[in-house]
Amino acid sequence: MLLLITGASDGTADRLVLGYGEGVFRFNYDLWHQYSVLYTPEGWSIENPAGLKITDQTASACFWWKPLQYYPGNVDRAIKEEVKYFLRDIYGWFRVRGLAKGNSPNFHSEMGKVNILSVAKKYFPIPRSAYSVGLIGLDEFSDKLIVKSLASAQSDDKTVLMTTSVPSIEALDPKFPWFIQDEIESSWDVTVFLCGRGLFAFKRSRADIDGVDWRTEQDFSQATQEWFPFDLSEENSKHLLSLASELGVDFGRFDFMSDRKSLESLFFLELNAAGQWVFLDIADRYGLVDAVVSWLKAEGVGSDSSTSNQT
Amino acid sequence: MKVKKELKQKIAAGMLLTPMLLSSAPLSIQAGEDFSYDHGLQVNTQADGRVMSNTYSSTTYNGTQTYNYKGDPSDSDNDSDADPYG
Repeated sequence: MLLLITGASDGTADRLVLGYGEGVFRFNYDLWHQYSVLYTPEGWSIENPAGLKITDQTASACFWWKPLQYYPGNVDRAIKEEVKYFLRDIYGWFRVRGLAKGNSPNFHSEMGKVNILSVAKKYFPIPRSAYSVGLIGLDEFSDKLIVKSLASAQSDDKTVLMTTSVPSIEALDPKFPWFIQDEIESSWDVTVFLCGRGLFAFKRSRADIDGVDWRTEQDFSQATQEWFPFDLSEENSKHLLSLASELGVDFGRFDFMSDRKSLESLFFLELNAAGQWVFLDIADRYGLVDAVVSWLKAEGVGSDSSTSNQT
Repeated sequence: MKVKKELKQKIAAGMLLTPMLLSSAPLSIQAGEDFSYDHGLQVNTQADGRVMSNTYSSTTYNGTQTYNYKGDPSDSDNDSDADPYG
């Protein structure tokens, strides 16, 4: 039985449960108080209010899907931390037994954007990139620059730093931490979803984007398809799987930009180890949910998805 | 846009840019219909019993943002796995 650790209103989790059928137990962090839990060094059990139950004897895999994004109720911070600790602890129970699927919730605490770029440059061109306090050593950057957030955290007043063009390095306050990159002149945003050994490549035209960050220009109505599948070249597929192998991942979304000339010429931007992916296939046309369900059902970590390259 | 206009004015005035000055409120959507979690089915359902996911109206798989239980965005990028509630 799969233990799916997530949140109650997560639509991706809904789709996974529906696709999985029987044999999945969903634990919603925000509803933690509704489950009956016993966790001991000898064994464990979790039961939901409907009587569904998972134990150390029936559990076969665990998938961590954004549980901490959901509001756990107005309880003391110390209590929330106890529940979070339990979730991480039981995820570790699966991990030491080789039963955890996907990436650890701590993945990006250890593998950050700059570190990943340092590995990715062996396989793909990358934009010139630097994290700097004091704005030192940036002489080789072009005159077209962007800044972006490393942590993607909200500020105290609930705003976020999207990928943003800046006029020059001299325009930035050197007292702050900056993650700076050369701007890529691109015709397409490209994102490739990795599931097992399956690669699902999608492109989004930049023709109608005013800024540099497509996230600011999304169509939340879902009325218009924005991302379209395309065939990743054999060489890019090979390089991407090599990169994934070196990073030790078999799940996640890799973001690229094409150059102006060809979709085969890709600049690597970043890996989202817990990246969303259903928005790429909102109408279930390309088999992403089926691929993830097959991958979750497959025995062993790093198992192949039953579906490989898309379209 | 008001923010961009203010930003241009500050740049013109010679102010140095800070990360907070360049930040903006994330996009948000609201869940269109009431729904609730069904422990028996382990998915969200609407008042009439329809499974939520089949309506394409649930809230967390659109783009790279995550939304909290009220439909408000909880982070800038739902590819982050950080806990916005600390």
